[in-house]
Parts: sequence; C-alpha cells; structure tokens
Amino acid sequence: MDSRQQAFSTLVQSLQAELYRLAYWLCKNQAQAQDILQEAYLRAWKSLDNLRDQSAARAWLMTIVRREYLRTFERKQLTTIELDELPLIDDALPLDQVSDVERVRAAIALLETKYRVPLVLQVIGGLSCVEIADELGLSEAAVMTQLFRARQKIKLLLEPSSAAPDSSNVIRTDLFKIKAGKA
Amino acid sequence: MKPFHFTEALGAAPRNSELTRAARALVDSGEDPDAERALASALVLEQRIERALNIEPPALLAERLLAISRQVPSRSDWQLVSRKIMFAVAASFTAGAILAGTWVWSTQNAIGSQLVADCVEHLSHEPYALSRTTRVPHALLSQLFARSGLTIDENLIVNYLQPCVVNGQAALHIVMQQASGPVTVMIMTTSESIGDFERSLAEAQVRVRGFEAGSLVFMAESSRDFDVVEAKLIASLGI
Repeated sequence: MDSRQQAFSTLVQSLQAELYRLAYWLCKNQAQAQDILQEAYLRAWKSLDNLRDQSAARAWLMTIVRREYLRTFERKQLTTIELDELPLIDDALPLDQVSDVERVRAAIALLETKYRVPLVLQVIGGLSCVEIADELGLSEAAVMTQLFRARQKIKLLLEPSSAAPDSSNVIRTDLFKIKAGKA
Repeated sequence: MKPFHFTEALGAAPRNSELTRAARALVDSGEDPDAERALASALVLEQRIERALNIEPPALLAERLLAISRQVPSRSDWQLVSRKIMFAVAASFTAGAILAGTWVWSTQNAIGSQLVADCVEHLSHEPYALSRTTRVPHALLSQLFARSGLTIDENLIVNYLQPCVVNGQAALHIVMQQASGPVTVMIMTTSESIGDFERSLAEAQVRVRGFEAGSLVFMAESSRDFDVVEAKLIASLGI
C-alpha cells in the first residue's frame, strides 16, 4: 500500500461512520446514503493531493458529502427509482413498545428538509450557526430560526401534551406510515 | 441576555456554553425564574436527539470505500491508462454516432438501440474499469447484487463492480477480464426485458440478453468471449 492509499485508508477508517450518519440523515435512505458516501470518497480519492492540511479533512469531506447529496437529490428528481422504506421502527414491536430512540428518529425523519439539514449539520457535523449559514447560503439568523423550529417540532411530536393537543395523533399516524413504508 | 433571546438561543444551540451563565443571570434577576429548568430540559432533549442520530454504518461499507483506491487510478496513474481512456472515449463517440444512425434507420429496434447507445456511452465515464485486474471481494459482490434483487454464487470472478445509473435506470456495471480482453456487462434490473440481439459496431461488439428481471448488456472489442462470460454469469446468477 503506497502513502496515498495509506492516507485514504485513514480517512475511510476514521470518518466513514460519521459521514455515513450525515449522509443517511440528509437523504433518510440507507442505500442512497452508501452511494453518496461512495461518490464522495471517490471524489476525495481523486482530489486527495489537494488536501494539504490533514486537520481540515473532516470539514472537507463533510462538504463533499453534502454537495454529493445535493447532486444526488437533484438527479433523483429526474428519475423514478424508489426510495427504500425508512428502517427507523422495528416492525416486530407494537407501537407502544417502540423505544425512545426510535420515536426520536421518527420525529427527526418527519422534519422538513429545511429544518432537518441544519440540525444534522449542527449535531453530527459539529458546525456552528455561522458555518451552517455559510454552507447553506443563508443568513445566520435564518439558520438560528430553522434550528429553533426543528427542535420545537421534534419536541411537539415527542411531547404532544406540551403545546399541541392533537400532535399525539400526528406522531402515531406518522409512525404507522413509517412502519408501513409510506413515509 | 433577555428572556426572549435566551429562549431563541436555547432552541438554536442548546450546547452553547454561554447559556449556563445566562440562565443563572435570568434566575437571579427574576426575569425568568424557569430559565435553568428550561436549559436542563433542552439539554435532555439534545441528548435524545444525539442518541437518535447516532446510527451504525453497514458492516461492509468501509471495505466498499477502501476498494475505491484499489479500483480507481489516482491522478498519477492516469498516464498509464491514458491510451485505454483515449480508445474508450473514441470508441464511445464512434459507436454513439453509428448507433444514433441505427436508431433513426430502424424504429423497430429503437428501445434496444437506445439501451445499447446509453450503455456504450456510459463506458466513457468509467474507462479505468477496463484496466482492473484484481478480483472484487465476493462479500461486496453479494451485497450489491442483493440490492438489485439478485443472488450470486462464489464462483464468479469479477474485476470491476460499480452500481451506476444508465439513462435513469439502476444498473450494475461489471468487468470480467478474459483471454481476448475485458468484457463489460451492464446488468439492468429496473426495466423490462427487451429480448435478445447483437450489434456489431465499429469499435465495440454488443450483445443484449433479456432475462426475467431485466437485461444483460455485454460489450467488448471482440465478441469471442461473450459465450463464456454469458454462461458464467447465467450460471452464477441462476437466471
């Protein structure tokens, strides 16, 4: 294995799990997330010589993954390949036994893209509001509002009694949709 | 920090370390007696979100990614395969032009011709595939074929494997090195079978074989090894 392959191997071993999470939560689809990651690493491999500062590798790859997601997403608008159903809920469990993690996952998956993407970039990517704003081409205030609303929506879906009296039905209905692969 | 701004900051970035101090100040000043409780509650929600987002990648993902550096030449390797690239691109353009003529001439075979044209054109996107000689691990083969609804036995030797999209259809792009040179096969599983036929193009020979789940498109400079590759593939896939 030459030094270039060694450097690439390090990037794969150290960052693939984190980048997979990012890709998965951007597209909400396991197969598509793997394809995004493969394309992103392919681009990284081809451009590895441009990466002078190894400490910038994480941010560099995250940007590639997000851009690849946008490219894939645009391509998906033109094709009719079906998305896999979301593997968020264990089908074997009755709904009242669905774990807290699965309920939160379902709630996050239900967020609109404009709320989910900044949240994922912040929590998984570790980006600040300013960095997210720069990445998404938005103002910092807009990003803060979207993050605020993302958490409010998750909270409402998880704790229906707190603000929206009928949101328990929403999450239950949506959980059933996800269990049935209709989300 | 005013209570309104505190609430806003809490929702936008609850991990911000300044919020602990701000919450204390709001409680002390009497502006928001619940500020610390709100912060604690927000941090609990944040932990739940972090746990939920923390999903494990598939077991074979790292192997699939590491295969990139074995399958794709780096910039410095490009000169070594440049002749093959030039040939593949030239062949694709020539074949594409001939196929375009064929398509106009014979409307009966329009769908088949389009598929062939798309497959030949696709070769120019991945010319390095022709120079791969190492064997793709069976686990990776098995996983990607399974995603296309196909099972494959361990006997098939494949030197290049890539899931692709050809004209909007999912396809598995494989290359098998043979005595007469590399044979490319595009395994199309998201379209109906379009029957069996062959095309003799200026630089590439093409064979299309329909099967229950789609079509196999064989491409090579010579058709000499098509029978061998087809037999191996059909036996291995059980189709």
